[in-house]
Amino acid sequence: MVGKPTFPLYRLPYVALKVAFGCSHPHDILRLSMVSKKSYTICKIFRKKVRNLNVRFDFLSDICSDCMATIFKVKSNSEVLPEDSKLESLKIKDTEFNVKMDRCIHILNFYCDDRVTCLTTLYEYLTDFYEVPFHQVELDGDSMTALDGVLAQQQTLAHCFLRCSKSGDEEVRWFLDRVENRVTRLLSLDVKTSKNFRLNLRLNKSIQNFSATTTVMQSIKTDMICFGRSFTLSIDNLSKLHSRGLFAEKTSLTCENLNSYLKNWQNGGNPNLGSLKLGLKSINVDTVLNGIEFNHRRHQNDVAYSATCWFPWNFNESYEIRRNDGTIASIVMQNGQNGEFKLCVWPDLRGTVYPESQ
Amino acid sequence: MSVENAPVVDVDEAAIPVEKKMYYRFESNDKKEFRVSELAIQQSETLNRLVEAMGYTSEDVENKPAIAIENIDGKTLKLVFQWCEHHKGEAIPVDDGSVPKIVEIPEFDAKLMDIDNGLLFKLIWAADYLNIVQLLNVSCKKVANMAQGKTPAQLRRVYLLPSDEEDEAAKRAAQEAQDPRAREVEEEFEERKRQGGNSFF
Repeated sequence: MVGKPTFPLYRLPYVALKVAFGCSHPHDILRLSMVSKKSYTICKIFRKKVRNLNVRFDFLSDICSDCMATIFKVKSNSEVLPEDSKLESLKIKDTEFNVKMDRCIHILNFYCDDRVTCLTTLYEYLTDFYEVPFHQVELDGDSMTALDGVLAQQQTLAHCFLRCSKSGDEEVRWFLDRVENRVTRLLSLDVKTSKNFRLNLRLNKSIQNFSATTTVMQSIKTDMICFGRSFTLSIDNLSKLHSRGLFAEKTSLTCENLNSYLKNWQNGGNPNLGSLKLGLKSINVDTVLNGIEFNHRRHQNDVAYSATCWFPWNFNESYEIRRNDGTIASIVMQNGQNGEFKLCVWPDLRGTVYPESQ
Repeated sequence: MSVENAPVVDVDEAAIPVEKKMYYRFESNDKKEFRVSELAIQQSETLNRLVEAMGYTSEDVENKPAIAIENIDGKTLKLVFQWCEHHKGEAIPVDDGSVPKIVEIPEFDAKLMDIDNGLLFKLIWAADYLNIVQLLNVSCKKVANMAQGKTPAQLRRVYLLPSDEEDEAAKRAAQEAQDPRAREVEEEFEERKRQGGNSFF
């Protein structure tokens, strides 16, 4: 091509401009909106809708849109390389940032001293630009306070993750106090707490504002709580949780605890429970099922149980138990050390009914 | 320019059905004349409707004056008709609602659009004016591709976008140029404010 490498975009006729925006990558339109107030207004008219916006305040420090496509990455000024000497200045809401395109052509890197402040500024910008609440927020111990800014902008949050490398009962209490009943779909905690730590949760049972990515997801009308390896779930804490899905990689539960929990469930306790997955130091099947009427089932074909919208749990051997109202659940476990206990209440999250014929 | 000397667009005659073998003559705003096959004209909704409305016979096409296209120059119109001839007979694309819009730029189109951006602007303008959907798609796709991998500051330079300050200055200048009385009123208002008046009226 010859001639000037410039093009007077906004002098195009309306229809042509609309087509040009239609052909543009959503992230290109977003960066174009940052050029000026006028550009922002035009881009907001032609921008594409996004379903999910996720911000990761933790070490990943980025903001992603649908399908986890990164839009912005926020890096420390110390990460500026010698070849990055030509960083450009970009002003957003009266704050200047140094920016540079990433190797990936659709990602804009921001360099600053305060990652949380930068991400919060970008979060506010995107909330305003796309006019959708953020779907998922991931925090760590250093960025927890950013949650206040997020919850000041939106009433509810679909997914919220907290990971802390250091132990902190106070951090967890602070966090749970903030989220209270405002996390609608998935709450994930991966924080080491003291032995005597007690949960004080008031999570909502009826979900109103949850966004969905697929039709299947839209049928989900319950919460999930996930505890990472750092968090040791006690029977006391487990008994306080009434979510549909409960997942804890590490627990201090004994087989006797589980036995009591199951008997309570059979008698109508925690009727909202759909799926339960717990990590135990050791499992003894006889102790867990002591005094419980069950059928030991060996399935000809693998049974696929959808506890979440991600991967199904597959098993070919289970213990079938029934609640007093006739609800069936499959228990999947094996004797031994570092065991895993799963309770699968039917039908599963996708509506699949119990495969009794197998 | 006479019809004999007009820059005729290459036509693959074998591809044209016998009954459709009619060539219309068009004239650009700088008096350059083009002969374009009826099938190629169908790529342009505007021209297609125009020739349908005129109801020309083969004789009319030869004997009557060329159809004037007042808003487009010869250089641009040549590109437009070259594109139409190459894509004649192809279905007019319908927007499938995909986001972003999926538009592939074929090799021929890429070569045709290997032009300076001033001419590209005119080509898009012409495609829009003549309502040639696919030409508009590919040319706008080329413009959209210019944004790939660019920072906001780079986008400002590529797309010739003024800053907020420049926009403000242009707005003020436009207001002053259009309505000198408005400036007088504003100055009077400011003066009264300085004098401590509560209300202009």
